[in-house]
Amino acid sequence: MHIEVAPRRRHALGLTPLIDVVFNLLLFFMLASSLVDWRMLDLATGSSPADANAPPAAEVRVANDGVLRYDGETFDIAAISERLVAELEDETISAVILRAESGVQLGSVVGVFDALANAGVEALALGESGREQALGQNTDSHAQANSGIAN
Amino acid sequence: MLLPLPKRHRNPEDNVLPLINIVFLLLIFFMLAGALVQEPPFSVTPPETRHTESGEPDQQYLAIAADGRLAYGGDIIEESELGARLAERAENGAPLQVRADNELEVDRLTRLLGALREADIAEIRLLTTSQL
Repeated sequence: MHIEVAPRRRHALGLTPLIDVVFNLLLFFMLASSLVDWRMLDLATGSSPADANAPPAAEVRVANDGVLRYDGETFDIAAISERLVAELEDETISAVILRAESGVQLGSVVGVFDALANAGVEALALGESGREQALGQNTDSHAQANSGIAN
Repeated sequence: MLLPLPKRHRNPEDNVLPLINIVFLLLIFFMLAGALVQEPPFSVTPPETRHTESGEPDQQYLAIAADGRLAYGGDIIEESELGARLAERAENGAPLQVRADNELEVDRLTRLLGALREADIAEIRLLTTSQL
């Protein structure tokens, strides 16, 4: 007796379930993963030990409207980077401490921090913005600086 | 003389093969390029920087909202709990990553940095995004 063999299907596995699963995976990864390019700004929470013989640190105050005050004058970012880099080269100052006036938002201070670091100010710190520093004493500013670039 | 074209034997599934190729490529792109990091429970818009180096975000980070609320590892925490929560943190030597909001007042941040110093954290890494 001759029994005819059933013709084989071309695809042993259907493609449709595979496509379903791949679509689901694609949707999951598209929605759950973030493609943000994160940047890192290292800050130290502790004060670095100050050298007693080193020149004092420059204290730059960041005001709310983006104005920078240093040594009784107001500057914009380009002018103050130039001046601070020159003073660091002369060793008139040893470090730069940024102090935000009250109510200043983080974005503007981080912007100044970034610009100064890019201009070549390496010893840069974010200082506490307490009231006692508002008088402009910078004799013990090393001890009051509470965070600085760690590297 | 007009000859009839040979009849092509077409499988209806052949039409979807290019589609599947593209979908596979997209899947691989999103799997490799994206990072599966938990978002903070409140909205945090990080500050922008232009010159800092890029890095990989950690799974555990401290998030600070514009109004000073804190979150660690996805849970909202109080400032008093901060020390206890950070003590659980695995000591792998990497600095604590902090996602602070652009509009956070710097006074609050510096006060918080003082609290972190008391919790024996010497260094933090502020997460920012690159400015276009």
